[in-house]
Amino acid sequence: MPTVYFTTSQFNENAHLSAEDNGVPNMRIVAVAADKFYRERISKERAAPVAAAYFDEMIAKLTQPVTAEEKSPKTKTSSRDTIKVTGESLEAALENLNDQFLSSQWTDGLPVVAPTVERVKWMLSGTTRSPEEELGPISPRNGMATVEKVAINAVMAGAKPEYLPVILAAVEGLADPQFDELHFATSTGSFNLVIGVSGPIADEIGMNSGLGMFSYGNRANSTIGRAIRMAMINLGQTWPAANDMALVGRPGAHAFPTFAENQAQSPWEPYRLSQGFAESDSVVTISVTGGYGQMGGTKIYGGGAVALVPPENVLKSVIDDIKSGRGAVRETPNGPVSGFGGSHRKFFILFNPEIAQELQDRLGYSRESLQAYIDDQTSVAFEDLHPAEIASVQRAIDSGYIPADRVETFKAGLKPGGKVPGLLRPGDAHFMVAGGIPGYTITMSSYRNGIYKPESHISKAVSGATLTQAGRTSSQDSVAAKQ
Amino acid sequence: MKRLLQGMAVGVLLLLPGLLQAAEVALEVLNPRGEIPPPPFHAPSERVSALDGKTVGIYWIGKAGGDNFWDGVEQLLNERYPNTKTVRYQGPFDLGDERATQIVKEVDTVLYGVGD
Repeated sequence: MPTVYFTTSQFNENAHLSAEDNGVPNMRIVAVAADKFYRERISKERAAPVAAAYFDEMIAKLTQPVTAEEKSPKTKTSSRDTIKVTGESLEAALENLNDQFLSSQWTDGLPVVAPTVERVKWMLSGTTRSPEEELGPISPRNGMATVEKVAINAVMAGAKPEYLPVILAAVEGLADPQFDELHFATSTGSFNLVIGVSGPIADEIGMNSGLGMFSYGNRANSTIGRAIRMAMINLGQTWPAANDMALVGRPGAHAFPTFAENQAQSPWEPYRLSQGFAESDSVVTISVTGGYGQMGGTKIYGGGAVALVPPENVLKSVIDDIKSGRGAVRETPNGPVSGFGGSHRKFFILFNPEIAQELQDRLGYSRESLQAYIDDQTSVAFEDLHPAEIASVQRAIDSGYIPADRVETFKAGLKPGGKVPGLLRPGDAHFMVAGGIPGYTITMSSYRNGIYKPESHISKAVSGATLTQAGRTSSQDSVAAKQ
Repeated sequence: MKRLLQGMAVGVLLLLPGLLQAAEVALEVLNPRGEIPPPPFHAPSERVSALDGKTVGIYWIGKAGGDNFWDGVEQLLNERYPNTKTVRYQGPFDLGDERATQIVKEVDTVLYGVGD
């Protein structure tokens, strides 16, 4: 089908890269000047001259025959495996390396550790996994993540070999065909990633799970988060204003927020058990969050060191905020469609230890009963729905948006006395204990379903570690071996 | 003795550039970029030779205000090509196989607008 693709000038490079990535590098594109389009789109009268300015170009691109050049694929040369960088001194060579890597768009703008052959070999000593093992392509440009490429990026980020198994597990999450990395890595919204580690490897590699768990000053937290950013730059091959179109950037510009579950001060069994992993496993969870504010962003609850806020009030505020999103109940023209404000959200709640302890010890919530309570309390009573919302839920059921095993629950909610779930699936409000005493509870929310792939929250077991007792094997290895 | 030391100092100074040059540092580093397997190549579809009598699909991903721009395009098409029909579509960025197949059946050529 002869097609002309319209974009705005700010997204022209992005459009060309996307076309190339999808095998149509010579797609005909009209790039409308961004400074005109976004201001003038406000009314028909103001937008008409903008449309007129591009009309002739549009007609030409619709009707001029496809040239021989357009019919030919561009040949791309493969990138070299090793690069030689020189300088009059070691300092000069390192400076040249950083300049060269930055001009090639291979770094995050901060100086990196030189990924020398020796240093990468040292990094690979942290895993038993083969350097050639492929973890999968990374969006948006589908660069292949091999164990060696991840190790190179981990070196650049300043990581140590004992962190590599954790970094590999996080990259496995990014590469999982179910995980929607493409949207959060490229969206104009400031969507971000948070990385949580549940399991004994966190203590062994010295991760911070306590006060200031998202802060600087801890090498493991900082460089694991930075290694994932590096992997996205070099494997996904993102670049700001080229294909990472976050209009104000992302909070994880240089290092994604990374923390460990505070099991020592948690009254509950570890998060990983709720996700089907074993107590002995070490598990990395990557979760898309709303960054600087999209989809509820990150919110903070409780009084910290300053005010007295009863735990029941903290829990109620968290639940009220989840409920306010109203999931599929939201009135949308097309029913809930991911990316158009009508989809369900998922939440990653980090309860600070003293709130968690009070919820367990004084209010009697186990992990299981608290999860059930949140699922129930975030539902919306049928009597509180207005007709357009009822119609929206019905559309969600009819369109197949509601998973088959949840349809009966949603249908039951559309009757007097019923409740429509605010969460698409039970457990979509994930929670861990993290932070110190005193602390704050935080919620981080985003789409439940990705725009391009189904999941925006995924957990992977660490395996293949050589320098820690934890993370050498995982319960998932034995499951895989049996299959 | 003094003269000998002076001579040695001059000799060292003369040799210094050579010594510095020899001290150039070379770092061999590994490429951090992931290999991108080339996707199957598709050339742009053959164009329509003229718009007269054709049906033009206009697909918009629905972001606010874009309709005003497309109204302008549609109006110009109607004015300059009175025998040309237009059909407007709206949906997500990834229109999916089913919708794409439907549009292919209904129109001769497409304007696809993302707006971002």
